[in-house]
Amino acid sequence: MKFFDPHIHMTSRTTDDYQAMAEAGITCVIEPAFWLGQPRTSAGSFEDYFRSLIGWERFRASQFGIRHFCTLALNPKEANDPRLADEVIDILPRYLGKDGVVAVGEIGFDDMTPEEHNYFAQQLVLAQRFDLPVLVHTPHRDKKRGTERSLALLREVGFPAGRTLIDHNTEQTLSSVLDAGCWAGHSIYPNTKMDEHRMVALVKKYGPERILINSAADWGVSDPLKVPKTAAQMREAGISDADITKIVWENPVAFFSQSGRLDLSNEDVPGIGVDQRELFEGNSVLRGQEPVVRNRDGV
Amino acid sequence: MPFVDLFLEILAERLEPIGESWLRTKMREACHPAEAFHLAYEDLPRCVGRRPLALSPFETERLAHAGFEGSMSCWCTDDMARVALLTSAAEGLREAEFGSLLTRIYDRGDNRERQAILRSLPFLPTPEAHLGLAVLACRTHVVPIFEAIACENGYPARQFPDPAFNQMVLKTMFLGLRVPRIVRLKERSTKELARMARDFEEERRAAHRPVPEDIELLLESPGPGANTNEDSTDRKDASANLEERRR
Repeated sequence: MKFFDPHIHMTSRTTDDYQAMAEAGITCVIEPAFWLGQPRTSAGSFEDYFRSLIGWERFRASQFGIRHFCTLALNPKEANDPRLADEVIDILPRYLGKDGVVAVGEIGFDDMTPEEHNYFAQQLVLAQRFDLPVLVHTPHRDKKRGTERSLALLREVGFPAGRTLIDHNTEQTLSSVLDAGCWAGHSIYPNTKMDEHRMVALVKKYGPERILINSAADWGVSDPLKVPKTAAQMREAGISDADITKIVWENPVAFFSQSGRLDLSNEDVPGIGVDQRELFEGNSVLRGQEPVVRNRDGV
Repeated sequence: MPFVDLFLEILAERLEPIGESWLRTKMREACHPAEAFHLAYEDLPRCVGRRPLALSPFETERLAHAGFEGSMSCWCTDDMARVALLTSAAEGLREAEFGSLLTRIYDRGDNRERQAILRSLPFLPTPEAHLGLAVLACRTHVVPIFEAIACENGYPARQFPDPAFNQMVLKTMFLGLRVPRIVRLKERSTKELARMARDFEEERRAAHRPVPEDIELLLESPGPGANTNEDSTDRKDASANLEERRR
């Protein structure tokens, strides 16, 4: 089975993670723009980060046979910095037209301040302008209220539910998100957020329609293999392969294909069908280990 | 025939009429760029498509006859279309204006956009003006970008001073790319490059690691017209020698 992780911060992860992800069958990832753990202090930092998501990180993933796409936005936390927020909104149009950008995100609420509301709304408008779907982060504190307010704002702006992925859902939020017609992401974490067993229960209750799972692996304690691990738990719990495939592949593909940019063909992508013998020792990621040779058929 | 016309003829065989028409329009407008040029450059693959260029022997010969050094074996249709767009813009703008446009597009470019810029360098009217950009590009760890300047591209052999050229050759080997892909390597081979290659070979053997077979090409005597100064790291000598080779 092949896997799609539609929310993972690969900038924070090592090549060990890429190696493990490739071995576990993850063939496609989406990396949303977020904050780095401490606030940026200049617009240039955002711009260089966006550039790294469309450039370096995309290449780094390709060396492990993984297709990498990204979403770009002014994230909810840093929307609170008045010195930078407007500048970042001005910078975004330079990059939202790029090939590898499949949504505007992560946008949404963190503390539910008026500033966050303002830039959430502005970026919904940007997404409409660039004809992109959106990835909405729901706050980890006061999540239920944050999700309700997010859904309300989407209705107010008239942003289509079918082009909205509300992420980090829990038992408290999933039903309203699905009722609103949005897609629902779940971040499976070792100790916090959602876990495999609860996810299995949610899938048994709601079925696989418009359900996505991700690892949201980032700078903190997190596990980039949570998608295949959760799939394994689902199988063990008796959920059908068809339903699992829908959750871990078809749904993310369907949602992000709405950007018109989710190119999953194998042509002309460096590293896909990767033969690392072409790039041994001194290569930007390999440091003398045995090359992995894998053609497009996975042999 | 100017390269731009040749590109359009080649592309006419490969693009849908709507894509070809879009490109011609954008090339006409390229003389008045601003954000519009950025958008056209960025949007281009969606409008003209992306397929391997796959030149015929006749087309290859025409390009060579027009003065092209190198190979387009790795190019796709969008690469040639982007090169055509850039070449048009360069001809329609003052040098300084085009230089700063090129830098902005490069800075904001994703990997493929950057590759196309580097491939366009040999075709631009004042190629030496873009040396800084080309040398900067060689620092990248994104291998396809490095390949776009180092391999099948005549620009480094014509424009790089010896130290930059030598580092590029060494890095080509480091990355496991084939050294014969470097255009006019023989003409730019120097004693210093041979020395660097010998040291690299020694380093590999000491580490019990494989030595690339094509290192032999660098260990041979320098080619005709090559710099035979003992110390070719002196910048003045390097520039003087470059001038010598151009004459």
